[in-house]
Amino acid sequence: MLKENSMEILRKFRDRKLIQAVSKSIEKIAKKLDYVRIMHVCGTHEHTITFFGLRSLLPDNVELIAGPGCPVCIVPAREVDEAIEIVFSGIRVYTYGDMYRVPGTKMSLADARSEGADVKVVYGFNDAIRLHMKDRKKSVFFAVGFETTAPTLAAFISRRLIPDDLMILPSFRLTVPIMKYILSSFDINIDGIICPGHVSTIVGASAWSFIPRISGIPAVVAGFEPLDVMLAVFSILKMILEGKPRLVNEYSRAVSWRGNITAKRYVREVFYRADGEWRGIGRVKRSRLLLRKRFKHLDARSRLSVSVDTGPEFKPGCRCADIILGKAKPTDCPLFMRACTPDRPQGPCMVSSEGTCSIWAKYGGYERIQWHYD
Amino acid sequence: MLYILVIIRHYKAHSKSFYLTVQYRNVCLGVPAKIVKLLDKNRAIADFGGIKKEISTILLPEVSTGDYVIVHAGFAISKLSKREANEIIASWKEVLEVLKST
Repeated sequence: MLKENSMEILRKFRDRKLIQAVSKSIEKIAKKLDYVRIMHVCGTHEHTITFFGLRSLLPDNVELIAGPGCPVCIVPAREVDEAIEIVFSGIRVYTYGDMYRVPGTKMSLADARSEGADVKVVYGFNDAIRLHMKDRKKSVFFAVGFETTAPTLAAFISRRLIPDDLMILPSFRLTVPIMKYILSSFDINIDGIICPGHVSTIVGASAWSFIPRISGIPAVVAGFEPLDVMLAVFSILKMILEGKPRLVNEYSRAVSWRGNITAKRYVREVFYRADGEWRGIGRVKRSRLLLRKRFKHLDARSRLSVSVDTGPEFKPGCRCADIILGKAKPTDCPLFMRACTPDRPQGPCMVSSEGTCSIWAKYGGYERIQWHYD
Repeated sequence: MLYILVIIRHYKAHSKSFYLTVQYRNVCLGVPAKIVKLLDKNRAIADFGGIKKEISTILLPEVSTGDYVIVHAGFAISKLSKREANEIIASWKEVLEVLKST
């Protein structure tokens, strides 16, 4: 699967015997506990959990819930509409592959392209700049993502490496404020948090220290191999049993306490925080990044005066809003795998490859296999 | 029998293309890679388990050839520490041993 010599570090994190040992220890601890709900807020964690079938390795009273971990699922339909209006006015729009198919109120950028609009899918911002230098066409970069993606733009903007005709349509959202929002809303009861690994490489493990301090529940920064997630569950259960909630950094091979200081400096210099709308969730305080005044000349919103009407965020019946917040599972949705499939997605959770619905549809996380090994 | 074949085929297809799809489709996914060559101050060639691609090192200026990094949307964002990886495995093994004996 992976080339042996290049990835030898990772092989150990897929060691079957070790994972089975962790699973057994988890079972032992869980027997002494009531029902435990652990939330993670990263699409990649959901991918690992579902792809490797980790839910089947956990006892019945331990539940893993997928929180808002998909950056394209939570971009409001309004902002997708803005990008679509821009592209129909004859300006090229660059965006990421995941964003390309997410529907706005009427259509997605993919639909716009099939109607002849100039939409280009790129892997990263550096690819967009490279393409832009070649074609020299007036264009807009539709920038979505969490704390991990924002610095990739901020670095180029701060160093004045952006070509003249390339504007930015920033739709960044931040995971630290949404975590505070989830923990302070009373209708969801969560006993432990698995913090997103790659966001943490930027913000540092220290950004999550508020979880045990304010909410009094354990938090673990975890990596994306199956062993990482199992160890995270194990240490959360252990902390609950001992009654000592703390912050544990399991992903220390990539995440430091302070994070990537270069990246954080770039982001602070270029962006400021504002209140932001989240699709299906509503307004969350200081959860959005916008360009500072001195970089306003790059902002597509102020340069192109885009105006769009508001419309419905979801199709009727779609329970994406509850699924994003972890209040419902994809299988609770009446459309899941009936009207809504990866080939004909109805809501953003099924469109994005990081959306919970899409992951469950592809790898089948909904069947819990009862399996006992001895 | 047919089912088993289908499952095997499915697994093979996914495991081979897993990192490829991950690399090109996802916004948030970070992928581990090895730095093969530094091109200039801000760019390097990275090896994603066999696939080589140019990445930006603007967010990780201290990177050098042979380092393992996590690449996110074409940018190296963090260095992977081999020592930490081995240490954490070793320490967890110890914890599990202790638990087994209790």
